[in-house]
Amino acid sequence: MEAKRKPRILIGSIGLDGHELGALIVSRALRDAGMEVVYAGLNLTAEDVVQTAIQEDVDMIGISSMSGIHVEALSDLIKLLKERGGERVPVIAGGIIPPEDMPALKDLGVKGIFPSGSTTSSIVEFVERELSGKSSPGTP
Amino acid sequence: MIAGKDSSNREEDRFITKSGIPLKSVYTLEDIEQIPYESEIGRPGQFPYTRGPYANMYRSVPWMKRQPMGFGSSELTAERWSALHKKGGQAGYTGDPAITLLFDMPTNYGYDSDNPKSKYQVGTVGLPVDHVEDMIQLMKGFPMDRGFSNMVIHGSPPIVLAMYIAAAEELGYAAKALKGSGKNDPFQSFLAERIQLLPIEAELKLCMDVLEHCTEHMPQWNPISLSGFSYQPAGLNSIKALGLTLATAIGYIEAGLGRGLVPDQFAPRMSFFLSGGVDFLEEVAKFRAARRLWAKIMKERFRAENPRSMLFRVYCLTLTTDYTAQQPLVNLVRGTIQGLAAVLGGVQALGIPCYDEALGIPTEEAQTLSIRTQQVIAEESGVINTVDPLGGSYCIEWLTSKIEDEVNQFIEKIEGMGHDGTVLSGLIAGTNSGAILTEIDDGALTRQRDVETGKTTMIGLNKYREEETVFPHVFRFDRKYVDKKIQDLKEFKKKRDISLRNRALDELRKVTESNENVMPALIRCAKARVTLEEAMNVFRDFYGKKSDLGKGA
Repeated sequence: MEAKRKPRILIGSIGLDGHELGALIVSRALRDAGMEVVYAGLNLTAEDVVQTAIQEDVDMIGISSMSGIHVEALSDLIKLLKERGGERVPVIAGGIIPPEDMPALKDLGVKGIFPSGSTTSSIVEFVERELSGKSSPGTP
Repeated sequence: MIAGKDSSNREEDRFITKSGIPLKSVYTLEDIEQIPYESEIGRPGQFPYTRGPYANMYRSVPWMKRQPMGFGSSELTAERWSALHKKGGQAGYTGDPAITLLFDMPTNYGYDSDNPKSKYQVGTVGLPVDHVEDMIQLMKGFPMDRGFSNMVIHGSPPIVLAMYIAAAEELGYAAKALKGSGKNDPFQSFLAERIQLLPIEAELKLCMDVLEHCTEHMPQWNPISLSGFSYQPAGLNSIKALGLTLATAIGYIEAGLGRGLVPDQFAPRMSFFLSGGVDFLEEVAKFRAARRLWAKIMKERFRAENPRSMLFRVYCLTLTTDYTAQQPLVNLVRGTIQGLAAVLGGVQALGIPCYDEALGIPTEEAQTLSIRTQQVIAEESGVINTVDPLGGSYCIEWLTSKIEDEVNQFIEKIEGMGHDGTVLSGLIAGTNSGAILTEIDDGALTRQRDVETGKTTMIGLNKYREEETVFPHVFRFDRKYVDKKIQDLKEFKKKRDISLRNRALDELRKVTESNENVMPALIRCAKARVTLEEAMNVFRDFYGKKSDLGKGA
């Protein structure tokens, strides 16, 4: 019998932005928790993310946004995912996201939102729950 | 959420500075009597300048009050600048206008606003500059010969500076009258901003072109502003950030020597840009140590004779990673402590990030509060009535010397990474191998872990949490300005004289290929209405792209 595959998450940042820290920190925490991280890095387009996600057959996509572009970028990403048949891949977002933007992101279908001050442990817990089938939509 | 919990009860672990220096219960004369007073402490305005670069400091000349800013478009940025200047901010030493400009990501990455890669990012975290007319529009209300402009540009400093110079000349100012400073710090762009457009050797060459050009043609301009301020948010503690900043300064001087420049010619115009954290004692001591370190580096390592080469002149932007998104008004308190430490540390210019920093770019109201914080320190607190008032404190003098030692060790470590005993080769090796980046990233991971375990207290976040009741208005500007920018750019490209633009680009290509100083050609390009991206592509094509972790930018 095939061993159960470790959860695989793509972590990346859309648009030109050198602020990498959040993505690095979350990637490390997810790896330490035993998950596989496909670190797609910085300066990605929505197209890059979707292509990599499909190629690598990821279970979840995590997008870091540090320059206020979260609504636009995630809207493009989720639309493109749908077009390519990837709508079942849950998307989470983190970074500089003010409370007033969270409803818009939830409406887009972002499953988890992790603004400034979120702990890596809460992110890890969320991802584990979400991918074990007991999903917990929305902001933890 | 874990409430703040001491991870140990040992005194050495509890009473430590943010950079990890344990402090004793009390310091006495015994702790500092080994420090030779005249040669190490002395008086302000005298080598080694521990107590201040100038004898009278703020009694004669206040620090510049410069809040970094930039967003949307030249018009919007100029408007906000003007509003803040009217409130007493954005002012230089004599009340003359001063500005610290931040540019948007496409500009920092060398792309025009209409490039598909620039999607989402035009004008979001800084000002978009595509060509000289953007600069003219920005600066036309600003007295470029009296005012002071600090441009924080990553990735494309020579091109943006050339546009600034060209804009000044078209507005009727001589280049030699221009006052200001430009971040021109390729190591920092690589290591802190993660913006790597060209191989480091190419970026160094361009950095030196700017240095050489300004040394000869722009005597009032600081061509290299060592921008160590973002090493701290990136992960280094205050002491290591200072160490890396001074190491890169040494590296650039070594590179200048390699160009045949004499340190006394250009070192007086090297300036610094550092973070100011909330650990009050450490920050005061850090700035004092920085001055002493720099004076000794210039005198002993580079045999400088011009006293002005030995002055560590610094713009402090207080530290955003000390701030929280939770209970954001508390950031006003943090900003005050940070600002006060910087002033007691003797900085030449100060900016205090706004309390809404964790939510987005600041509102005018938040910027105003930051300016008022500076004004209260300057005009109500009385700390400016005498120079270096904490000088002579047993703790502060001990800590100043301690930080000096730690920084020297850090510089030696960088030196050791190289192959020829120069700090420059150590920096290049450490950058190319990823060793320095790893140290920075490890620092960030440690910092995050310390916050999550409560080892580092952050009130509102991991201690004294409560349900949020204050929701600052998040600043947004009308996206129509961005649409207009992109539209204007399209028309601009059509309207300009294409043969003039082509000739200018050909010239730029020629001087790049023959390894000459590119600045005169870049200035001519700016005047010929070459765009930022078009100029940058000449460098990209010639030097090759440097790809970063994600994707080549």
